[in-house]
Amino acid sequence: MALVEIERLRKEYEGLVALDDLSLSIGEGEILGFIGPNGAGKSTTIRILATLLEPTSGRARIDGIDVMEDPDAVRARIGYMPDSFGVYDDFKVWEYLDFFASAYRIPKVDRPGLVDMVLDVTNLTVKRDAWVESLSRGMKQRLCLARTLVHNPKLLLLDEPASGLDPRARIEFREMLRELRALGKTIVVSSHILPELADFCTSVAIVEKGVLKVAGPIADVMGEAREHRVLEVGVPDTDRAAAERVLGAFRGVESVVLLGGVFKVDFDGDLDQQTTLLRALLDSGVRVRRFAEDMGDLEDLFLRVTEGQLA
Amino acid sequence: MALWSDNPILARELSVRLSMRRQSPAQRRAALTAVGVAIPLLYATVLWGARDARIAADIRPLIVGGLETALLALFAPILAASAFTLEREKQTWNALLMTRLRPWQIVLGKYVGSLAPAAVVYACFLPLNAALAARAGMSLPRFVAESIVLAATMCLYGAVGLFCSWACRRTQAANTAVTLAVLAMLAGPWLLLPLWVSVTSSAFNIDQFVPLWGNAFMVMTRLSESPGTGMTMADRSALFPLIIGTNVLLSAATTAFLLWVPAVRLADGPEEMVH
Repeated sequence: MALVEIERLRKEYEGLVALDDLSLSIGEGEILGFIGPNGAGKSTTIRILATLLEPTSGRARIDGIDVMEDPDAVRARIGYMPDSFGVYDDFKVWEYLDFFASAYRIPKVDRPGLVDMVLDVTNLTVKRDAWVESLSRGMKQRLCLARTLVHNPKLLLLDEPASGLDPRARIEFREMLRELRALGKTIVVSSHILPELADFCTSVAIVEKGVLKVAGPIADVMGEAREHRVLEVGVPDTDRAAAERVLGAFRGVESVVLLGGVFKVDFDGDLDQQTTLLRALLDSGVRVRRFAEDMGDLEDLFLRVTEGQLA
Repeated sequence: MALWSDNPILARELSVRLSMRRQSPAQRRAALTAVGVAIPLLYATVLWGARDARIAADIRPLIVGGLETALLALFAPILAASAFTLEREKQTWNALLMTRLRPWQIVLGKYVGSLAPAAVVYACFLPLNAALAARAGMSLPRFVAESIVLAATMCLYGAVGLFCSWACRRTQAANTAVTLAVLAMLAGPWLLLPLWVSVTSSAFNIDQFVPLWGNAFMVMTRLSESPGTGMTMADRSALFPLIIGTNVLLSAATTAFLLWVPAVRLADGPEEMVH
């Protein structure tokens, strides 16, 4: 069941089209990587979902509730972490979370346990009594994430959550998102740094110039977006010449490149033809060490479906 | 959730503005000692200086109409001017608006919290005012009227500060706007006075110039004059109750309006939130 439904969402800023009829559906429990270059419309989409921005046209529903018709009900279901965020430096960590728990009308008696729970999820328990001002940027990021969790939202909207973090903090942040997924949260996470999304996203949406280029489960999207398959064929050195001959002569093979002792074969064919190619190699006496489809990565996919244009 | 009880904004504002929790114990002790010495010293000096009724009557306008009114008219708006702008500058504003707090809770929490230090100043002066009033032979109703006008003035100027904070993006801009607004409110009626004098054919009586009825310094100075001087507003003008009533009502209505506007705009939702 879709938790987020976006239909023909359009946003214009003084003649500039930031979002152009964007439609997207996000299922419960998904972690959607929202990818696009800076200025592509990611933050605009997230801010509309967060009820902070009014669309020019179109509609967006979260848990069946229209974000414009009942923003209060939507806010109770979402946790929003903006790309640039602030924290109250004059609070202690637990006070900061208690403040927001109170603002979300969590009963006073429930707050201490809740604060301890979100501190635990975000690995900030040891900093419970520290001043917010004394935290590192990575810890403040985690604190901000903890703040989005105090009212137990179904959906987390994280806009560039890992920007400005050092590699270690990024890894820790990624682990935390995995934990949140295990807790059943649906997460929309935008980024233009692709490797940081590849590991933990279940689906991906690529947006450019305000237009949704491609969306869906990562494996499906990568498969669909590829014009050709890339096969990796590994053979012993002694069989390399024979293998190259067979590969070069096979119908559907566009190019063969030897990289690090493995042939990278650009192959325009389906699974049956792929099987036939393997058989042809074996029939020619080539000993095959490795024969696999290279799924590529998000960077490949991103470069393939975008044209490097901004909105 | 009530507007006052369990309002986290109010609790936070009071905590930040009144407590010295970030200071070290030594700094806290030093500050409390300084206040503990300064206030008794002020009391002792003023009360010793105003030993008889005549002197007490003479210095009351200076203390209440001058010093205290000036402190509150400047202190209250300047403190309130950063109430919203700091949230925007620190990028905590949207997070606050995303919560389930009602616009009135946010506005009143900010307003009362930012007014608290000025209220402390008011409370510190109150016993001194009362002692001077008693010594100068001022009647209780007059003293109560004076205290109400002073409180209304503090509330009005605080609301002006909060409004400027809502209307401006930056604290610096809000401080400038507040300063200009306070100057206009205090000096504006006096600038109009010559025009009124030139067009009126009747004998000049400053108490009949209605724009001055809303001027804090004018009303407070007149109010704090005591019978001993033989020049009180009550003695000179039958308009006295009308002036007091108008001043308080005008302050209350303007305060309510200045708080109502941001609350309504906050309730409008997204357009305000993108600030």
